[in-house]
Amino acid sequence: MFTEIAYKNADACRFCWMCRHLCPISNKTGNEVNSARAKGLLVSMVKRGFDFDPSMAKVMWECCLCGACTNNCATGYEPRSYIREARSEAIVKGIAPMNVMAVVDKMLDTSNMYGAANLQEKLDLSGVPTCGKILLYIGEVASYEVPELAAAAMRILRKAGVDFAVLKNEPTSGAYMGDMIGFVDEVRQQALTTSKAIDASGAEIVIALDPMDARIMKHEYAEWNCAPKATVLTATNYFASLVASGTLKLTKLKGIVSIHDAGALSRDLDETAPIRAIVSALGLDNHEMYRHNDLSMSCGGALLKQYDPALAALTCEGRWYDVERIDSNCIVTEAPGSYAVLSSKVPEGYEVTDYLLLLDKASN
Amino acid sequence: MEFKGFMINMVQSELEDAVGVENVSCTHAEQITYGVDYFWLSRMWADKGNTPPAPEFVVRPGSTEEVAKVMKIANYYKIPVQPWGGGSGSQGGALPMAGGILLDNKRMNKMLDLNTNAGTVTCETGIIFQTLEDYCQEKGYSMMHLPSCLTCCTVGGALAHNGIGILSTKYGKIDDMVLWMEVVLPTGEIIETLPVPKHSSGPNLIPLFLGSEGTLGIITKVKFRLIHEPEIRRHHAFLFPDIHTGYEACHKIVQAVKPSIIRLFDEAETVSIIKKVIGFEKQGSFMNLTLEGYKGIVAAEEEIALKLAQEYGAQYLGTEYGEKWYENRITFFYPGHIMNNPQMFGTLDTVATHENIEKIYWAMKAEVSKFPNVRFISHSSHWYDWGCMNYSRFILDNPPEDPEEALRLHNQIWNAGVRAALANGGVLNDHHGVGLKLSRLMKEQYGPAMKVLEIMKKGLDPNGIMNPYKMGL
Repeated sequence: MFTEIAYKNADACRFCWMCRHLCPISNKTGNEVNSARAKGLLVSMVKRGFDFDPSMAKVMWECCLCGACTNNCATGYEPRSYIREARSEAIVKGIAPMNVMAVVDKMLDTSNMYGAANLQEKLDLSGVPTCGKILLYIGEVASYEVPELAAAAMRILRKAGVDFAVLKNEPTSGAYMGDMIGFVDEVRQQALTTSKAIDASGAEIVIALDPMDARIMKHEYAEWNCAPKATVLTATNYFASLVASGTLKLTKLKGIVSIHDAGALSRDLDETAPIRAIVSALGLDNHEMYRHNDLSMSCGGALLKQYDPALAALTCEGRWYDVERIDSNCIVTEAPGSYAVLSSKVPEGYEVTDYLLLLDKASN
Repeated sequence: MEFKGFMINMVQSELEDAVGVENVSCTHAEQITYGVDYFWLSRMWADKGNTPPAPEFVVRPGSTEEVAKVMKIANYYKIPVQPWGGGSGSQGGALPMAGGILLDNKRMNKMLDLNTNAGTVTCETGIIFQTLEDYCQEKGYSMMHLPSCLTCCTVGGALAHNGIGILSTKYGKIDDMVLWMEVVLPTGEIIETLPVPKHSSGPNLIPLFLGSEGTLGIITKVKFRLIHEPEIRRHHAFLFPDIHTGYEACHKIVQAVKPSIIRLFDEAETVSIIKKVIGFEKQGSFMNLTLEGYKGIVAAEEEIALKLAQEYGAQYLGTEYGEKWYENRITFFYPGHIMNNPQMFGTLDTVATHENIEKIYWAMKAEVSKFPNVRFISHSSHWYDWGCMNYSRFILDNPPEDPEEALRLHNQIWNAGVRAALANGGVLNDHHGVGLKLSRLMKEQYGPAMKVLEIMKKGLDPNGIMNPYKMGL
């Protein structure tokens, strides 16, 4: 069943309500079961002899694992630990919801959430080497759902004179699979495959375009003793350094924007400065939403959009409301998942763009 | 109530017609979740692996009109309705003890108007209070209602039990902040209070519904006053030789100046919780005080407050510990800091005049301490020029294993503590409410005056469907 770590965290959370205000899901659905404390209570009741049933299983996927609850906890408890384990347990027990299993099956077949046989089919990789010291790791969302971001990233690197490589048939990192089915063996095997592919490319630096990939490579890969030899950098960090060093020359843009911090970057990787440095260098005026940096409210994320598009749309609506209350009408994203979700439901009079699109537009 | 055959399905389809199919449910996960609130007994019950009290229907209306429809359906079938906000109440007020409908209003979470010219904010009551506070702060304002449950309670929950925040000594209780309310009566009519809270235009309806804990209706919208963020907020701390001198000094201070925070801890809480959370190690009676507003006024008030404290033998501790307390004001309530199961605990908060509050402290301590191995800690944190609140807590580290025995002992301690307050000029509760926990003691507290409440209840809720077993009604 659940590990002692999961039970310890669940027992701490079951009677604690303190992070409720930061949950992007429960604040939109209004359903008590969507709070972190409810999930903790349900897992704790399983420990106390209650059957882990389909209704409990369903609740566990009504969460985008954005980490706002974890980040808020004054005592460091981690709701994501038991939510991930509950997902694993529900799949093993055969009680995961059908909409979830549809995506799980795709992942188990193809290792990506889209079920794409060739994730790179939308990318123009002609002339891009597969080996080199600097490896651009594109990830499944930017490869398949928002390939315009991958294309922009490659153009920017070329403009900056950076020789880079991209893995042929780039294996997924396991980041989204780990969120979907928990950190089980299949995910660790995926991590190992990816790490070996990175090593085989001869990379010394990996630029992870998706912070979800950067997070798992920096955290879980190390924990599972399969970290690649190369240094993994977030793309925001890498591109900010190109801008700061003058390697990437920019013409100034004008306008007011609001940065949407991705939880994987702002909370899990403690990185909020590079995106702000880039936006500032672009000449844009960043008007912060009230919840920004590590308090940022998630917009749902690419994975939730795949298995529960209605819930993702509702969550996304909550984030748009944060920008609607201030004098900005443009959100700038820093993660492909955020861009994929926010661009799928833009309120009238508003726009969303990504820092990669802005850098591409402003660079010579 | 018991439904026969497919009657339950008939009622469910009617509720679905009122609020939408997706907003009526009652899964096993929901039954467990809504059966455990912040009340120690509901937590203990679940902790022992017992089945929590469960509703037949969880209904999530999205508007006042939908609430009204639900109430009309509930009245026709005489189905109990238990309103649920954040579930963060400590008195069991939201628990579905009578089954029936659990009405969760958190979909009604819109801020309707934030008028900085008028200095008001209007919202639906299902909004999380912290979210409303965030929206106000975006514009440089605050509700100045900052309870420890700010991040998890709804506005409706705070209104239903007439809550209070840490800045109350300057800005008041929530009943000082409400300007207007919309209420759905138990029979489904939608009413509004008059446009202003103070008038001589007949009895004021606001206090009738504030603190009625869902027994007289459901508050669906509210208009609050707004306050500018202060120019300066300065924290101080003191150490009194004992709680007695602390009470005397604080009494003088609140009659002379208007602190936003004044919290006086007894010797036992000073060496336990204060030590643990802010690292203050000395013995005595710790007090932290905050003054805020315009710089010049704050400076004058500081001078007076410091002088008065020192006249009562206080050691001035500077600003560090006051700031630490403020920074950690919510840390106290996180797991690992707050009391937790399997410990048994309860907060016997009461309020009384300055003449009586210390008598209550000693009487309550004496009564509670008669129970073997029960610890007693206390602080006073909401002050008026006429009196103050006493927030006393009992803690038992090893309560009986058997849940029924534990329940019995829990209620015995509560009875003893509350009766000590009532016998010395106090009341059942200051700001957590009555709920299920203290329902049995309402008649004892009110005496013949309870008749007034019972008549109001009968008139407004003729079928007795609103939050049964709560508040003695």
